[in-house]
Amino acid sequence: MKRSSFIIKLILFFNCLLIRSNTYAQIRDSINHKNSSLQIRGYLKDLQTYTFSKNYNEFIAGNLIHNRLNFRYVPSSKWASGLEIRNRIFWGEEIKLTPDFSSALKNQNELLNMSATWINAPELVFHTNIDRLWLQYTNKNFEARLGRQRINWGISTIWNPNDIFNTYNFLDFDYEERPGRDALKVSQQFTSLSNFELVASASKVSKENVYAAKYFFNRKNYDFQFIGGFFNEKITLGTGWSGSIVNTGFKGEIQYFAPDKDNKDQINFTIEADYLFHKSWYVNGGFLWNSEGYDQPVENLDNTSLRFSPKHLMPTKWNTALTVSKSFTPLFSGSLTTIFAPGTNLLIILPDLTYNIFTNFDIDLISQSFYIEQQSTFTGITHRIFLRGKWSF
Amino acid sequence: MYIILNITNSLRFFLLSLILAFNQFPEQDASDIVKKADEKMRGKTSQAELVIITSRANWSRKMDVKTWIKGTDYSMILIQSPIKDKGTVFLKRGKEVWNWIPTLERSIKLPPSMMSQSWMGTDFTNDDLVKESSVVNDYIHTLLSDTLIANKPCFKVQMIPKPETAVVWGKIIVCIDKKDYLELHTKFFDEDGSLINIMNAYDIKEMDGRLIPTRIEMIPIDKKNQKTEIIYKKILFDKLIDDNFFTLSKMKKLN
Repeated sequence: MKRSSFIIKLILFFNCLLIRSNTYAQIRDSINHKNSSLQIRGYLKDLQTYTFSKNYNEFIAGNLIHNRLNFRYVPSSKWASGLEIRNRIFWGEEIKLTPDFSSALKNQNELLNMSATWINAPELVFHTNIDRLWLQYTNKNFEARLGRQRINWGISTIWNPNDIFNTYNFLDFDYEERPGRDALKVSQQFTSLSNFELVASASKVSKENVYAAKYFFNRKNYDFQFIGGFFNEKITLGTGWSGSIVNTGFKGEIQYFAPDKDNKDQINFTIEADYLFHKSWYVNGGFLWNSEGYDQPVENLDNTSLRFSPKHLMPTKWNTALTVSKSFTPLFSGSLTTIFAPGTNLLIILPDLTYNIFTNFDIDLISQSFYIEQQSTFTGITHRIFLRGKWSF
Repeated sequence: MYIILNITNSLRFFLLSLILAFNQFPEQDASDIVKKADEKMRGKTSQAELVIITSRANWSRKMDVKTWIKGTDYSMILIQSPIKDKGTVFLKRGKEVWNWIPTLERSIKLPPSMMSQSWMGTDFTNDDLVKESSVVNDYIHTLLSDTLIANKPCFKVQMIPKPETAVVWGKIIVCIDKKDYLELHTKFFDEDGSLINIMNAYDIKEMDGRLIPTRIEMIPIDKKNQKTEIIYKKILFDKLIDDNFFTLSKMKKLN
């Protein structure tokens, strides 16, 4: 543990030097262009968060500076490696008021601890995590990747029941890359559009290891996949498809989890359709059924577990989502997503606006509003507004 | 009855022969001209490095892309800049299109409806870039007249989509240079006959042994101060690209 922490410190020290140097861009360009085997990319984001009470009469502010550094080293056509580091500095009232804020930043799925908390004060937390660190070998149509990586088996766009290796909160829009998993993945391509993947992923608790295989193929303009394996030591089976009906995209995923001594068997099923209309109006409608989700109004929210997991993409049983997005100009776009869960009558409204101010600089204004039925009354719970600036390099 | 039919057919044939004889530009010629111009820019395969500049009254954005195109069925587009989109890939095989997003480490299949819409905010549609619809096979060509474009004598050809093909435009008028078969000026009309876009080609240079226009601009008619330019930095024609190049596993590895 101490050793990994030392390595992180060393890497970060090197990064700090790079960032502080005003010749950083030149160094990066010379590495990226003159010797394409090593590439460095990343971004720096500043996120201001305002969390309002249900009537907007009180608010708590939070701040986050978020830096990501992605390294790729590809010395030959057979070997490649990746290292991605996530540095975050939080401060403001929000972390003061959240008990044990820094421990919530850890990804519980990781086998090896490759994170460090440099500063853990009540008003400021500086946290670093290596969320990708892998080595890859490719030989013709065979590929093996070992290390911390993202295994993304999702095929649809809103909810992904087939994404059984990763847990993430879909409201966490600021983490586009999603957490990684410590795993070995081997894949073999058979034809242009068919392949087989085998993955063994390890967790700190061996009971939470996931082993699974996926066969992917394309037939009659449809992608199909079949998944089988063990999730938390119990059998899991799944399938997904992606195709179209006339000009409308049509996708879906189903995943079954066998029962264990604490849980009944469980099915997650999603289906969705999308269409791009004239003048860049895009509409996506989806439905998710979680057989073990809540389907009655929840009377005491504080006692309700809302931990997201591959088994619980939503805490609620019946879920519908509708997204409408539009590019007003090539630089300015917006979208509105509405999620409604009948039964619990949970409603989440997620509008956002994005503006590209300079080539590599974007500004986002995002809002999240939550409403639910409680004691037979439909009421607001909380509203969050985010303002984010992002510089990509 | 048989005789009457036969006479009618003979009469039809005679009338048709007359029309063909008096028409200076038979339809077959118009198709040949379009075919020659299409082959000039397309080749059996092409691999190109392009700069795409989208301009509006107050701003412009530049994008560097690489393209691999094989016939009308296979194409791959890799974005190299801006940096936030670097590594993004569009793969088309037949009627299917996938989008690889390196940040998410996953590919997303796109609905067929996106083919006729703007590509990455430019004034080109997806179809313009990956050339799914064939200007040769999907249209009926008629030679209208001769014309001059940038002092070059050109054929002016009208293209009307065949009824069974699902193409974006209602009519296209294209002006093709008589000497080198270069498409120098094109007008795109919608199904109601309204002029929507004008495309102009400039900077004729030799690349990989072919004389081609290396700067092409697309100007939407109803929007002032708006255009998109494609500038060819490099293009290679007819180099063998295996069908196996156009795969989901390959799109992840492009850089």
